[in-house]
Amino acid sequence: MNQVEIQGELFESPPADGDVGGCIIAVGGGKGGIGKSLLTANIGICLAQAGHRVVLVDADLGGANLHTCLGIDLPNLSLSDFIQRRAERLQDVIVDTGIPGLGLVSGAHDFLASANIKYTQKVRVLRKIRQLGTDIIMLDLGSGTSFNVLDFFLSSHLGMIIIVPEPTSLENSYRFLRSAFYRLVRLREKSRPLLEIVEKALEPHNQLNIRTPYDLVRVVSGVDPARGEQYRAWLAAFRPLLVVNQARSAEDRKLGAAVALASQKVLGIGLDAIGHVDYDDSVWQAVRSRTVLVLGPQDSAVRRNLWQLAREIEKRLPSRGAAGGGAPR
Amino acid sequence: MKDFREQNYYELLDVPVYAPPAAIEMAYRRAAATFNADSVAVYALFPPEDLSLLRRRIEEAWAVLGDPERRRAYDLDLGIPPRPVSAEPEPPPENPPPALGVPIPPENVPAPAGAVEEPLPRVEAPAQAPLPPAPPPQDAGPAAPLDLAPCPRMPEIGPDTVFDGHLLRQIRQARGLSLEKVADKTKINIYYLRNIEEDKYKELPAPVYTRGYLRLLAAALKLDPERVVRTYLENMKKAGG
Repeated sequence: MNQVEIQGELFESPPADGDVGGCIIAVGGGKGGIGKSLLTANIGICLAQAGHRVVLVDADLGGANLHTCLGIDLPNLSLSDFIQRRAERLQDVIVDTGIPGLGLVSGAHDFLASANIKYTQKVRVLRKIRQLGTDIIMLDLGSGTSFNVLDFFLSSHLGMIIIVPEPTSLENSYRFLRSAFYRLVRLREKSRPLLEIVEKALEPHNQLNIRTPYDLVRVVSGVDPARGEQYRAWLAAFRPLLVVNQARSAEDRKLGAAVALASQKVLGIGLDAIGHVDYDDSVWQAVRSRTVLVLGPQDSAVRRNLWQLAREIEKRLPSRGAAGGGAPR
Repeated sequence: MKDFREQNYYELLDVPVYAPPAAIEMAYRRAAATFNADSVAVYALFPPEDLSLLRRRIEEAWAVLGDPERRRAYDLDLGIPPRPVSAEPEPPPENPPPALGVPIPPENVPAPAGAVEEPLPRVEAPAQAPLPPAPPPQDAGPAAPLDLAPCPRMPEIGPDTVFDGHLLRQIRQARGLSLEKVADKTKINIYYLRNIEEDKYKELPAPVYTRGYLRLLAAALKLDPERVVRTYLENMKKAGG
């Protein structure tokens, strides 16, 4: 199968017969250290406790942390074993977390090899994730906008961006969103002249003055109106979820709505702001003591925030076989 | 889906064409706060000149859609027919202003003792849109004498003009606008308008709200909102306000 066919299978077609329809939720955001792993772990626990069968996949290749957030030691089996074919099936590297209904595919052990997997290895991982027979698969992605990170994000049913109320986080997130959309279009476009336009869009100061997805749609529409309409439809359907972490004030809690408005108005990318998590000392204390935040004995605002996010995600789970909001179908 | 440069004023504020005035005001305030130069939501989103353009367009949208006559004329230009009369009441806006038409003050600002004529209650959303105040009775006594005094001259405004409260008052008076009229037009509490004109910085709400009020006031006085906000707040900062 050549690269175009592989890309088509993953990013264009509905799930194949072997896919059993689990909802893949990819958690990204661009900036490192903002709590993606912590939120992935704790929301995953809430969803499992709500009765769903959940598998968390630590796809932060070279920077695995999910096991720490779950309060368990580094498992013996990991994604690396599957990539290197020491384990034939992805199911064989799912470890028991001790929480009913929740399994973990830990991040790879080897720093160099796993952080730089080949394209065909990545496609194999993505294909097998789709075939996991479980209700929900949450992918904890790494930071940045590498093709690996973007492709994992785009292969999901629901993409979720985490931000913190800091300029650096917003800067990285907007960069992530632009990159994700351009990557999506890049993977789907087959016409050579239009591909050249898309490649130009990836350059920061390009001659076509394409700075936003809006600009890309406009330029493509000028060359090929019908294709421009297709791009417009992809842009309209690309609508990741948005969560604000470490909110310290009322203004921070409303940041999700403001970012959603700004992103739609300027980039043309709609965001579904589903809630926030308050900044609280209990969070870093839980991480430091390797205890699970959402399983603590006492109620707290942070626990209520996490449960609320899990409920919002539940409302948005697509029906089996239907697409959601990662890569628009 | 259009770039903000191509959007009409309704699209710019994300309101439907038949949105009630309160919804338009709410949408304007949300947009003004989101695209404020200091807002973290717009950091590194687009070049400064585009942000300025978007803010100007938002102010224009408010200046037109917030004024019933200008809105009617604008609707005609767009080819929007008058709102059809419906038996159903208009749905209430998301967070409507209080029934008395007095803006809700920011949470951290204490109610000034004896400084406002009406109480400022925390208002829950009413079941339906508030009715306008009843007009005064026809036999309300002799009419107030017409004020035939000429308006003071408009002060000189140049590229380096610094807008303080005193200047803003002069401009307001030169335009023949009473403080009540400006309060009614901008929906800013007259208490805050008076404090802005008297440079009583400590009696003003948090900067993010004052900024919004200054912007509304500038628009009402047909001034450049950016310059008014920047220079007024610079003065405020120098005075330790």
